[in-house]
Amino acid sequence: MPLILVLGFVFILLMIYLGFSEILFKPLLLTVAGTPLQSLYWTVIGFLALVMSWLSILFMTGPMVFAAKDNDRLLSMPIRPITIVMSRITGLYFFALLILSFFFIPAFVVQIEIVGFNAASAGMLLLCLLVFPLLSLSLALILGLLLHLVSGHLARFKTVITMAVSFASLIAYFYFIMNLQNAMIMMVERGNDMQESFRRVLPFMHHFGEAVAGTSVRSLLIFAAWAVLPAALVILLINRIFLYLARRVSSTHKSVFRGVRETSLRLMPSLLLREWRHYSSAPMVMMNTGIAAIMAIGLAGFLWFSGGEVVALIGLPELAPFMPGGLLAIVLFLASTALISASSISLEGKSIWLLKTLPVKAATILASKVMFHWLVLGPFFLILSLTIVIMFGASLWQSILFLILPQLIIILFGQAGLIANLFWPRFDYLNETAVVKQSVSVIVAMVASFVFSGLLIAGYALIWNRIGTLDQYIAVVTAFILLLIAGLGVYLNTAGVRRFRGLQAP
Amino acid sequence: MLTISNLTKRYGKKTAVNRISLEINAGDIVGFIGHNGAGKTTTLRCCSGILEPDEGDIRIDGLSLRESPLECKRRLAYIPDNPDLYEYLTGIRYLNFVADVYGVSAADRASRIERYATMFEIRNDLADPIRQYSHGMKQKIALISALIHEPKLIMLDEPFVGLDPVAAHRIKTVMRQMCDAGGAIFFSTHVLEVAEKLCDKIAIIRQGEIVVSGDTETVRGDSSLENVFLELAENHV
Repeated sequence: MPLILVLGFVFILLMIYLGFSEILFKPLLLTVAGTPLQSLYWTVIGFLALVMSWLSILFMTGPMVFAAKDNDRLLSMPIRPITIVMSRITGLYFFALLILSFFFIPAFVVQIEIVGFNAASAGMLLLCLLVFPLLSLSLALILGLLLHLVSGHLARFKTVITMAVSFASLIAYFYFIMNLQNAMIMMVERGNDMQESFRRVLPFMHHFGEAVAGTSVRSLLIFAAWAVLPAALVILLINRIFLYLARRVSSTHKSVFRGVRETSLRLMPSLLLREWRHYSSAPMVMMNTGIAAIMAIGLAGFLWFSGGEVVALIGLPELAPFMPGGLLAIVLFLASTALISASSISLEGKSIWLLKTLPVKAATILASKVMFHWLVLGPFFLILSLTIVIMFGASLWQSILFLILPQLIIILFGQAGLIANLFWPRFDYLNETAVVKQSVSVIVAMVASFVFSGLLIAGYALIWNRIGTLDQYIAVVTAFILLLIAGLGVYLNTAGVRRFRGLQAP
Repeated sequence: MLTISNLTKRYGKKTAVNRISLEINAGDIVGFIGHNGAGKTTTLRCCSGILEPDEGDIRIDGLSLRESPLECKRRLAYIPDNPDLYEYLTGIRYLNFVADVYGVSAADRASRIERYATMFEIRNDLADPIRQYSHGMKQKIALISALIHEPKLIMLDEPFVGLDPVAAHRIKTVMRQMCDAGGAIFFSTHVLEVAEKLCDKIAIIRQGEIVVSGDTETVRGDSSLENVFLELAENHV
């Protein structure tokens, strides 16, 4: 099990390196390498990493720190509240450290490639990395505390509030990433102003950059102070109000019972409705497993409103042949990030006994989970496919393939995720966020989907490119995926059903 | 209604239930008594289709659970000792889901939910999420969901834990009514007084084997059920 987690960690690192080094880290460093502004490289990377780690742990603070389900049990034991608080915050610290590593390790590899290895810089980065999570923690704990207090009074709108804050943060983040090119131009033209802005507005980021790039001990100490002191204050604050938070009962809205539904549902719609009610009740599960749907619709929107520039690239004869394939590759990778089915069995939790006592075939239950995966993602990817077809004036044959292939990919990844979850179910969790963020099945499903997507792309780039056209390749891949779907369907209906019957919650 | 023949269930090397046999007829309320870890829950979970037996046969209303699991499940209902329900659903949505799966018509479900929710004094809470319910309220919702498709056999694991006295009394009334109408009840309990008063038959399980079973009067003899149970325990020690 730990080996799978380590392999998953290395794989994600590799993917981030391969995915971002050329479009983010290298251009950024090349802009400032060898100039007095080289620290800006680490300042900007540090800022991006800070925002991402902050976002990643923000919504874990509620279920993991303030309102954990084992509060009553722990408070009844001879354990001091500060110990409980610290044990939970330590868990978040390591999670933030993990997220930060995904940025800093590839960024450092790029630094070695371009300016060479510097032992002092490596040492400084390591020291900074140890205290950096405290920055993310302070920010996440403070905002998380506010959200927890507010959502406690507005329990009915908890999902809406969480989703709104998440989307707003993500949109802002991606807007920043999309405009990074402008930032780099600004670095060249007005680097000193930018450095000065960071120094005044986000001094800790400025000192982080100076510490790693300039190996300044003074900056290291200032950065450490910025990280440690606010964290200490926030932890002291939480410790002081922890008992109030743990004993506080959220205001519960009393709904009026208006009678029994006057219609009955057939079996499959009923199972799907249950899946939806579960899924939509957990914003963190939605955010972590279904972000691909939002990204697909975001990409479609980008193509509609800014697609002119992309279409113009087709005017360049050397790029035209790659455009449809390139977009399809993006669709493939987007689908790889959708992990709805990969945690759907684990999320049944201790109530899995219910499904086993109902007069429903195990195969039907598994089919409902794959279908739900497809229903959540399919429409969004269909909009993206339609956008690509319309924007790029695809032929009828291309259009059919472009509309069908992403849908098949979603079904295939849905099946694969479910199988991973049948092999590695996790029922011993205190909150659902842990399942979708830290379970083996999710990591395995993600890695498998990424590898599969990579192999499909490599298959065209390295082999098919020389013997046939892209259209032919997509047709062959479509047929291949149909076969795989049939194969996995048979597996789920036989061995999958046996595995499901053998599952037991503790 | 329920025939258990030579049922064996092992967890790794540990044999939780060893070749037990039991017959429960229509109209019977059967109490299943034993120490913690004696094998009561494992037996009930095997009979409800949650666990697959390693050996033996379980028949419900004449049908083999192994060969016709869906038909058997349509005839039974099971309530575990700790009702972990779908906390993200409201009580009424949960009941609607269960009714949909069992194919209960809209009219039937409406009348049954109204009747049982009123009886267990939970009607006004049906629109609230189950996560807001107390243990007793969850137990009541689990009971209503078990009754909604009018099963022929209900199996309950410690059904009286967490219930208020009024609800416990009403459950006993419903149990008796159901059995008088030709159904059967098989339930585990540690409350020997309840078993003694309510059950037509008693089965006592120890270390995965049934040591005594039969009519309550016969099992008890001139003594009390508590004395019989303690005597069996002391003999074992």
